[in-house]
Amino acid sequence: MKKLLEISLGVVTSVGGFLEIGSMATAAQAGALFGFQLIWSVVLGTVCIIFLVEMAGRFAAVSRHTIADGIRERFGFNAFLWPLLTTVLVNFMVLSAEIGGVAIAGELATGISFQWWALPVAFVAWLLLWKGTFGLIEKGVSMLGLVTLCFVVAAVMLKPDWKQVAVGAAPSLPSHDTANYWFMAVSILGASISPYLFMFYSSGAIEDRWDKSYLGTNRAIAGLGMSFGGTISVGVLIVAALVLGAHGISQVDDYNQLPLMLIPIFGFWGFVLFVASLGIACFGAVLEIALQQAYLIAQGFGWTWGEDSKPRDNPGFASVYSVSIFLAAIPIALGLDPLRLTVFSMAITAASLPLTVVPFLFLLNDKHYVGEHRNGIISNIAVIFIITLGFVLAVVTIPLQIFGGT
Amino acid sequence: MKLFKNCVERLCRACLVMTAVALAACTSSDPVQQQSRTVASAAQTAALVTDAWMAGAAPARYTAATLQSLAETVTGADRQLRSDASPEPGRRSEVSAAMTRLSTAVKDAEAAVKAGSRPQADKARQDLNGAMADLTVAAARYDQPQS
Repeated sequence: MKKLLEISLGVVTSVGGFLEIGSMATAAQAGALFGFQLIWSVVLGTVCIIFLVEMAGRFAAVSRHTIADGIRERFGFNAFLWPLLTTVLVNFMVLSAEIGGVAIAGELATGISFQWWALPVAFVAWLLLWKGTFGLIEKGVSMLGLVTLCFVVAAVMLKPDWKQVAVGAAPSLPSHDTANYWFMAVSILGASISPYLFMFYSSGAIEDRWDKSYLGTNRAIAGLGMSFGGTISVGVLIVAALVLGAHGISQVDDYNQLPLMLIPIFGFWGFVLFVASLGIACFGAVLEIALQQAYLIAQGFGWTWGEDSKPRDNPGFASVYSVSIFLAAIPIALGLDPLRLTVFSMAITAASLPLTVVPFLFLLNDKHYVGEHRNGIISNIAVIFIITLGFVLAVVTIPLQIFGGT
Repeated sequence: MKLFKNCVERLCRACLVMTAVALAACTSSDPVQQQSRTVASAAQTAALVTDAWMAGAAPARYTAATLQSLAETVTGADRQLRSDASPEPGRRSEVSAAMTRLSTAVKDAEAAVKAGSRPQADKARQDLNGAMADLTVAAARYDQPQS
């Protein structure tokens, strides 16, 4: 009974924490311009993240190491430095974009320009991290994130042609805007397969003191939680296609366009639901990414870490999330367009994937760490596929950014 | 460790070659067509948000801010179009004129929302429809091969 409750809670928090500004913006842009045609990239990204999250959780539960710990220990600090620097940089951009997302929600709700919201948002997030516990961050904010399910409700209410939705789940070639199509596919994959997601998950497993008895729980949370989360992203894409695309709005390059996805369906409440979804989902992501930065650096340098301990017991860990949050707020406070930053940072996230995913192949096959719980043939094929995909994304991202980026 | 390094180095080299191929494969479209699409999308957004405001589904502050931002997008596209050196200034100026009318209609809608005047917003909405039709015709004419 206790395990079932844990699974349910884990699934709910995964669902609530799945959507953030990256998945929302990229799915909205894709739906508006290409209808259901890019659903396959959300599905592919979700399948990939299910495998990575399951492996990250299994690695943590069996070896009592986080992924970052494992990389540093297995390959040495010099080899760890590259994924560390890349992930810190990518996380910084994504963190900034998420702060921008909350700031946009603030602007939509009050009319006060988003720049003015960046530092207050950073302060509130910092305060929660400083005073709060891991449970509060992980479960509390993610529970509120369930408001994002309104996109699934909206998609169902719009009565889409489900056959066309199913057709969109299979990859197809674009009939127009080829470079833009592939750029969006890359951005959606970047938003779905975020390194911070699986790295945070492995740190969370250690914070929650998982052991081998949690392997079933881990599999259920990874599979169900991420699948339901992916369903929300597909919901955003369907709504964007049937509302924005159907009204001839093919380019979503202004964040003011985003609430229009829900207004024609729910009326004024659509506006309220959109603002709440954006604000809560992005705020949850801000907390998770800032924590992830601290986990990564503390684990990389062998400092003590843990959100449940008092900041004075983990001064390095607490300093990293404090500095990260306020630094990431600066570009938004200076007026950098959060939507442009989001799309750019999602593409860069996709490009950085190989550095964080290649080590999975070694760590999850190392008897020293995972013993009998090593990867089976399906998991290894999945990792090799994700690595190959990661390299392809790394190659095509920059040219596509130049020719297809919005 | 060495295996990992070698693997990364080889893949990086392969990446460089593939980047060059990908760069060559990508092409950009005509700037007039690009700007026309941007403006058409902005105009449709303006129509949708104005309708939502008139139906009481969108707050005035948000509607006005959206229309202001859209007007800037249209004006920016128009300005860029005028500054571009084009071999067909006649056809381009038709597109540009339609964009100017659209920009005016969006600004009128913004003024109507700020003033809280539904009749004024209704009038701006009709102007928007007319200007969008003009843009569609001008853009289609621009796309036609010259005889």
